[in-house]
Amino acid sequence: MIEAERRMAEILADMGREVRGLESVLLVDEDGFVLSRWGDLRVDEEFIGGVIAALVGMTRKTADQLALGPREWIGVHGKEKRIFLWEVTPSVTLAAVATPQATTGLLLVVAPKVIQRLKEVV
Amino acid sequence: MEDPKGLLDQIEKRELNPYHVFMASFLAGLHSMGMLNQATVTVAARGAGRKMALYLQAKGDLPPLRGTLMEKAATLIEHLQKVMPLGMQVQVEVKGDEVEVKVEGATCKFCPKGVGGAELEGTLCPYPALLASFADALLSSEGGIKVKPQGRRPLVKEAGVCKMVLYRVQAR
Repeated sequence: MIEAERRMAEILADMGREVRGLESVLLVDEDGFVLSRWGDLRVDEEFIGGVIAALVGMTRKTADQLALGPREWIGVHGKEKRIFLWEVTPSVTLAAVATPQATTGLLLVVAPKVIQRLKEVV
Repeated sequence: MEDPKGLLDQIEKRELNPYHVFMASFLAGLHSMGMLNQATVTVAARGAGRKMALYLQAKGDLPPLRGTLMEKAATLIEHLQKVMPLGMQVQVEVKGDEVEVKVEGATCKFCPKGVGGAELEGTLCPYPALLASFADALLSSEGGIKVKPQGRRPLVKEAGVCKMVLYRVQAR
């Protein structure tokens, strides 16, 4: 698991370089605890981790209610690409946060390419 | 609707009042919508701990404090347990610069799982952050008190007992 987390952190870093304006990324579990990080969020990680997990939790429930299919295909991002969240496994959530001040204008999106990439290391 | 007989068993075993049932089921309800997880509960509980400290200060209902910082913290936690029982069986023990608090899970009064009926594998326990911030708020002039993580989590459940550890941090 540690090795998988380390590799996911590397992929997060790659993603960070690909996404303009991305300052830092966090990997949190479904309880909101930080598993891995890249960059310096300069915020209360417990707080932001909990909020990220809650966002994913609400998205999951919404997806269930809307019968949108397998939850691993559900991703969330905010307006202007400020927040990116992907669920990697039922118990591990990948989260990329562009700025601590990110707003949460949520959209449901399908991100199979990203999920497939992450599946290779989980 | 939940089996009333099952709830009656819990009411008797845990000596629940309506506030316990309300709070535990309210937390469970938020969790069922995906809004609540252990980290968000922890953050909210920090504020609740500070508020409880303020409440007891305002009421002039604080015990005399003696000994080390952690002995004082333990006294405050025991006092909170008297004012607002967390469970039927709560054990508070000072171990050097740490305070260990054990709550018999089956007797916990606010448990979102056991009382509220939340369906989850992990925990939604407000106690570690509640107790730490409560004691910290009342002893802040002498030093800080925080929750010692048990792995990543703020508490660990062993043989039905929920254990949390608070520790002393450098004075601010």
